[in-house]
Amino acid sequence: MKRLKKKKQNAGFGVNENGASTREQDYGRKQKLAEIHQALISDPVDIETLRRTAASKGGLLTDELRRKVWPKLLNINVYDLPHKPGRNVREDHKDYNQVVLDVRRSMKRFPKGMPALERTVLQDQLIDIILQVLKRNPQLHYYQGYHDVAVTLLLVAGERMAIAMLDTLSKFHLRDFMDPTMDSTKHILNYLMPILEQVDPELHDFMIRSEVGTIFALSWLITWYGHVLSEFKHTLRLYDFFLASHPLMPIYLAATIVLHREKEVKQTECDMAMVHHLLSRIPQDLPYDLLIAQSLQLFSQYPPSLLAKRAALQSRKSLSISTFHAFQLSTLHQRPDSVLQRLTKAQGSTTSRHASQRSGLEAALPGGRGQLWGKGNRMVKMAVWGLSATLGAAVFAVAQTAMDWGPDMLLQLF
Amino acid sequence: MNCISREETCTDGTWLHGLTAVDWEGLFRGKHRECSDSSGTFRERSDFTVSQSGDDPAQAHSRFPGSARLGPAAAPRPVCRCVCVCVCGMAVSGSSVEFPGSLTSSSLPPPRTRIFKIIVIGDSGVGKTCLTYRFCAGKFPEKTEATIGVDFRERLVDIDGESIKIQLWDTAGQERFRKSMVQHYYRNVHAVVFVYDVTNAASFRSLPAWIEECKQHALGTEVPRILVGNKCDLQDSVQVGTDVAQQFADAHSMPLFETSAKNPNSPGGGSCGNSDHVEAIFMTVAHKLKSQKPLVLSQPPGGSGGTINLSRVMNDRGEGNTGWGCSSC
Ligand SMILES: Nc1nc2c(ncn2[C@@H]2O[C@H](COP(=O)(O)OP(=O)(O)O)[C@@H](O)[C@H]2O)c(=O)[nH]1
Ligand SMILES: [Mg+2]
Repeated sequence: MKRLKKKKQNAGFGVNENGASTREQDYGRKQKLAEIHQALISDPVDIETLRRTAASKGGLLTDELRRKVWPKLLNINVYDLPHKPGRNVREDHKDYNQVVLDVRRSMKRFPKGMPALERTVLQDQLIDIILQVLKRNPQLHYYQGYHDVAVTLLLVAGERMAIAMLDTLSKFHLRDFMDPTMDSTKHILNYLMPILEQVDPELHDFMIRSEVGTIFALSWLITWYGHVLSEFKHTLRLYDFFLASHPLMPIYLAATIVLHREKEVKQTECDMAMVHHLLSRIPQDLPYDLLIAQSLQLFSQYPPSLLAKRAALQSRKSLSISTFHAFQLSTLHQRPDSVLQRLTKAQGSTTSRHASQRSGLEAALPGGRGQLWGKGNRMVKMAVWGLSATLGAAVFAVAQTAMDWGPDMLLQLF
Repeated sequence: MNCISREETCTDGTWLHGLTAVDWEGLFRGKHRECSDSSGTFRERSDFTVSQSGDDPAQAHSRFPGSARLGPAAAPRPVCRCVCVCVCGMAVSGSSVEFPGSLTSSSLPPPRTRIFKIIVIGDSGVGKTCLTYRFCAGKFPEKTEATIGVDFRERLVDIDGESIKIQLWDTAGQERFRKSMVQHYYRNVHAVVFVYDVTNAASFRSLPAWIEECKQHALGTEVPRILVGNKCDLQDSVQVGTDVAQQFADAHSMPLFETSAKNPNSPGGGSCGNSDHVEAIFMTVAHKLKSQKPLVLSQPPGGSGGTINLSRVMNDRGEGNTGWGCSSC
């Protein structure tokens, strides 16, 4: 019985894929948690360690940790979050209809057991946060798949933190996909074949001959695989990785996945449809830790600059790539949350105090999926007690359900 | 590359003479008669979604094994608008390991299977994914998601004793995808299905733009094209009347079908007998394509996968413009 429980727990983290010794893993896990914790309280925050742990085996382990680490990876002060979108956010935006259409039919992105009412509340939030970010940045254009990114952020971090993260991601990592046309996106996709060419010329030739193109990887790239993975824990694992990585990393992972399936590909009929079909179906049980490690290796072996030179890709300017260095530098001087909180308080702004309170609550609401509720229960109840009167019944309903389908706030780990 | 225009309509014997587009429509709405001879017997169906996700509605990542629905299809014999068309670039494939439940993996391995590639286009949300899913999996998907890039679905059908793979390319509706992304998939397409939503006038108003897009990809009127008004089950919220749609269809020399991916047998769905209307639509296109003489067969370049080269390959690759022409007309 005990053993069974343990197994279940591990499955929730997406580690223990081949039944390695649990004790060993527990040890590694505890050590990792300690390391992340230490990095978070360092002043300035030890961003290097956070990046490394986000990419290493198992990723950031829990949603609780993600809510702490993701904002740091994006240089976001969680005590100074944007306000909830007002009612007018939906008024006259050119992408409104498309956003609503895509969000309404994105049911699959929500946890399976979630009651329709709660899902509807979250879907409404999703529409609002997308439109809010688009309104704040008139230069950005909505694309189908953007909602898959937004929903991942929302489910992990709640509405206000999701807005802040989506805003930053849109200006940097996702920037190329948000041009008026998809030409820049196509340019990013063009890095895929040169990587394959370096590693496996035979496979590369096969794919060229099949004329498969690179559209099979389009949804992988622009949704960070959120659109194609059915297990949310895998999506989270990859988001940990991509949030800590260069904007081209999804392409390196795409290359790794194609290389991983090299035999299958070569055995397929050399025909566009057949190869497209094979590749665009991502096997759901991929060894993500292994593939991530391989992607990192490919990245250091064949960095984007080298590929650009070899494949004559420099011609076009990618905003995501060209701004990345500056973005990374900007993350190096962050204060730990305890300091940020004090500083924010010191500023005496009532709005930000309100903000911090709420962000704390929202962080507690949507949590991990599939995990039985367990010890975190009290925490959510407390969060619900702490609800300010301004929050409506709908949010309460979400909190209520959160208890049923269960955030994994593994408080016992701290 | 010059094809006979509508005025010069001729037939190849398989398509009915003299029926106007109105007749077509009538066929399906039961106003007129004959649902035609349908030679389409469905031995097997197989569906898969290409993008994992994407669109594969109800169960994202599983395949749908054939639901072996036997029975005649209502495949009307439509008007011939331009018979002197060569369907080029039809791939001939001998192996089909990819498609479970397909004929080749069953006990009846045909030496080769012709593939009809049909591209489905129209505004976002009109129901392209649902229609293609309905045809390939035989049911209305519970949940669809936005289509990112392209997906395709296939189904093996039997037409006049020949087993033919119908490959439906389901495309993203959002405009920004189309300019740089979807082009690639216009190559070697044998037919085009334009879809609008009868409850959404804007989707109907977009049709000229879609037709224009096709033209830009060198798919002219010689390529069989049909117009489908979807969501007929929502009778109370119809915004696009049949008359207007019919006029538009006539003006562009296309047959019009009004149907519902959700409930193709409902009165509003314009049923023809007991058969599945969506099925009849795609089978109609397939019949039309089969009736055209494939003067040139191409094989996928390279052909390492056990393909058989039947005749000379007339597929200059990298060139979007291959294959619609007819050297003989
Ligand atoms: N009532 C009704 N709804 C439909 C029909 N076909 C599609 N839909 C709905 O329309 C929405 C968009 O469908 P989808 O196939 O994803 O559109 P696409 O963007 O053109 O691929 C979905 O919510 C479908 O459930 C239909 O025939 N009747
Ligand atoms: Mg679709």
